[in-house]
Amino acid sequence: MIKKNLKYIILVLLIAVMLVTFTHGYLKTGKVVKVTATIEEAAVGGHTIPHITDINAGADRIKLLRYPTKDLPPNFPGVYVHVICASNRIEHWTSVPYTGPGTYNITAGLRFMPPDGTKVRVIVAVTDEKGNRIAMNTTDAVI
Amino acid sequence: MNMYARFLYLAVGVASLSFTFATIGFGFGHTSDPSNCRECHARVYEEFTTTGAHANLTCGNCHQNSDLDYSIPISFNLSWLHAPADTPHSAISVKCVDCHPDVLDELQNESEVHRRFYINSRKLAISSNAACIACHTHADVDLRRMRRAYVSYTVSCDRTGYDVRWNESDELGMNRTGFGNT
Repeated sequence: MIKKNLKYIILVLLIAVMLVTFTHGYLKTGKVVKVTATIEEAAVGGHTIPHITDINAGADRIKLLRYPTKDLPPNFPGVYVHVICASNRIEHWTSVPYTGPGTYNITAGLRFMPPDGTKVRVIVAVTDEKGNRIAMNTTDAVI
Repeated sequence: MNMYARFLYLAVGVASLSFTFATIGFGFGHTSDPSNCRECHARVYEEFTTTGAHANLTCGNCHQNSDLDYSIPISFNLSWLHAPADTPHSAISVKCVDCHPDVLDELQNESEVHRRFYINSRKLAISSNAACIACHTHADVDLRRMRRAYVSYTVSCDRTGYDVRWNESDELGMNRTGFGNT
């Protein structure tokens, strides 16, 4: 009897696993750091240099199915976000293309989830096409 | 079991596994394979994996490179990738002071012993990490240690007494003594 229905049991189990894992990823959320950075440009010695004039950072939660991980490919030039907690960089490599002055919204996924209420240092940096850092600013945030 | 049923089982199985891996895979980002970096950066790799406080980190913890895969030996002809073998790939490094901002705070103190070295290194070096790397890794750095032939102070005097300050400049200057209006 069992042998006869084995194929159906396997089929049901596979579908159940699929549903459970999909539901888990759809319903469960993970903590991210959302950063809004304002970048202006100033002419210095014939060159234009970006300045990060304002940073707002805070925690949010995103469904695991949409959870941001390492940016592939990375952006050169780009606006990068680093989240530092207890002398460790805890975010996935996160960047958006740098297109000039303006406001950039960046969502950084975390490799390690610090407990709620943890104070972190958020660094926003602009890198050129070679990866050199040409501007940066920092702020503290509680996530 | 007929052909149709086998195909159905296979399809459902593959779909289930795909969904499973896709779902549990979220949160696990792509990590760079350190052995790829080792192809060209063997000395750095050996040092960081065997000594120091960063031995448990991988290359990708501090570096993000361009999307090309440099696992191929540089002697290999990369022309089909439109990447000449002798062209270094773009890379981003975090700064030492990103994770160690307390050091940067200490360097703001004018009497901090490494302050001038750090400031001068930043003027000359291609990377702001160079001053840290000079002493905190085994990287070859051309350091010429020199001692001062003199000690320079700036001394002023007013009604409240003497004010003695360490003169950081390399200029010997002149010994001058001035008195304020009394």
